[in-house]
Amino acid sequence: MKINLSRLIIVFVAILLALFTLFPIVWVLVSSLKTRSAIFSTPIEWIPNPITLASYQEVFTYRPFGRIIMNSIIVGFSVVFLSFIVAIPAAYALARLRIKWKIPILMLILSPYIFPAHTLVAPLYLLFRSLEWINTYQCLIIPYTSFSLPLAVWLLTIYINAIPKELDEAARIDGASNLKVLLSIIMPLLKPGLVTTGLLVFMGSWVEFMYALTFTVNEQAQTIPVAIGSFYGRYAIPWGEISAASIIAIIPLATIIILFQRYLIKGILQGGLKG
Amino acid sequence: MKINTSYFYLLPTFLLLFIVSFYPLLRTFQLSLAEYDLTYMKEPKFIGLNNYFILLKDENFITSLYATLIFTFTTVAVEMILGLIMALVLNENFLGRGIIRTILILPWGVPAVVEAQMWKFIYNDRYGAINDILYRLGIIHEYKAWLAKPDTAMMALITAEAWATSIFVGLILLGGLQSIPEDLYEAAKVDGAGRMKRFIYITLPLLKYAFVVALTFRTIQAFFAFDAIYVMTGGGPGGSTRVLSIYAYDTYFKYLNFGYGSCIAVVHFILGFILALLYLRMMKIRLE
Repeated sequence: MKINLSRLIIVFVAILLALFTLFPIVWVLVSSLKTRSAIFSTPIEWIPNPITLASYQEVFTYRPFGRIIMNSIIVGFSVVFLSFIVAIPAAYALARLRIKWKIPILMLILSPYIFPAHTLVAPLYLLFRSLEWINTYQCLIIPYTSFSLPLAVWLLTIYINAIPKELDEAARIDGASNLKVLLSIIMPLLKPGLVTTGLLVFMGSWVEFMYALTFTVNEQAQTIPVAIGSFYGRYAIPWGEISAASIIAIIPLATIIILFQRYLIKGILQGGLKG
Repeated sequence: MKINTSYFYLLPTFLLLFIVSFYPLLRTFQLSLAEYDLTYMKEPKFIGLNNYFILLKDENFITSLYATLIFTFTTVAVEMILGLIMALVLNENFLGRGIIRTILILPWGVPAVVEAQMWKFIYNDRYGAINDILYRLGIIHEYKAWLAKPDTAMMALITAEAWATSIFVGLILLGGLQSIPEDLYEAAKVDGAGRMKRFIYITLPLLKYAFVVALTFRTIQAFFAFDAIYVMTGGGPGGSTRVLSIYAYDTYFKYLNFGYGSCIAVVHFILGFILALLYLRMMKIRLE
């Protein structure tokens, strides 16, 4: 009987935690389905009646949210692609090649992980302004790629280390070069590592705020977080549109998390923490 | 002489890190020694440590530092407790554990800006959920402007941040829990130790390492937090939630004072660095 009681408490606490976690998401989801007048009425209607998609429609018609989603997607995929091109060779060198000072080199690559964004943003702004890059994709893609490198190099090094060394030694006896070993032995076996790394890098790019806020001006290059952070209406804060846009911003990442949670948890536990 | 081509593989990484991280960091240090007001100056003017002397007497800096410390330590304390509870719950076997885990991880998929807007809406003085719920329950008798008062604004920020990041603490601690060998518990059970005793004498001591790791990571991140605070309160009301990162950012881009902004950023960075070192020291001492 005693065991059942403690089990009951655990389930009760679990449900409380889940309710606390779901509460803001459900609140925003419910609000996104209300009519404008229902949002701005008290007391609050907890079940929208009638249910309407008007807020979603407004986000795409009154605001350039379609273009902004596309910006986020273009930036995100470019960052993942570029960070693979840059990080895979580095991870390969650190895991497999004969290099002096491996530990200090790794430390140096990891150190930018703790540089807070506001210690870098001013010089980068001056740099991009002088290049006339403000409000372009590249002034987001290049910094995001660079900031993903500590995590990407570190994770990929761990994944390459886990591939049995005998495989490349066999290839080397057959006369394969470093590059050949990377391309024909390592790469095919690196797929799970690339999935985890790619997802984490994409998520990092999808949510980034300070640089996007500073380096972009309008929908030509603005990404989702900046757009959602700066939704203002003429008379009142447009909570319906903010709610609809928030749900749209959450859906891709929530899907990724639900489908790949095991990979992702393993990834952040190995690579430290940065969402 | 044969060149070792292995180093070429590291070249792109270092090139990018240099341009986008190391160079800007050094440049910020350099700008902190200069007067550089973008409204009228073309070039920064070297003024030595002047910005730092101004900073020491700047009341806004002191209040920002205070806000940063309150935000950091309260948030992390709440998160450590919530995270520990999450880890203990997820470590148990019960029907529906998979669903609960998926739900608890969801905030990870919520961008900080969205998190901020959600909670800003919830705390809204007229149409927000908190007022409605508390009013219906009879806890408050009139709607409150939570984000317009210094103490409740800080509390609202802390709720939002703890909501978003407790699960990271939870996952790290869960990893720690799962690495504790099952036989230890079995042996203690044979010796007649109850649930509470096993928790205090086995779980807590062996969880120390994971605990300090989570504590260090979260403290540093909270100390440098920007996104959610900027969107939710923008540092207000009356500067009460203007943490150092926001103070630095506003000094750059609101007042276009890049010299003084850099000075604030550098001091903030160094303080965070010292904080990290203190934790790492603590970790070493505790592990010995």
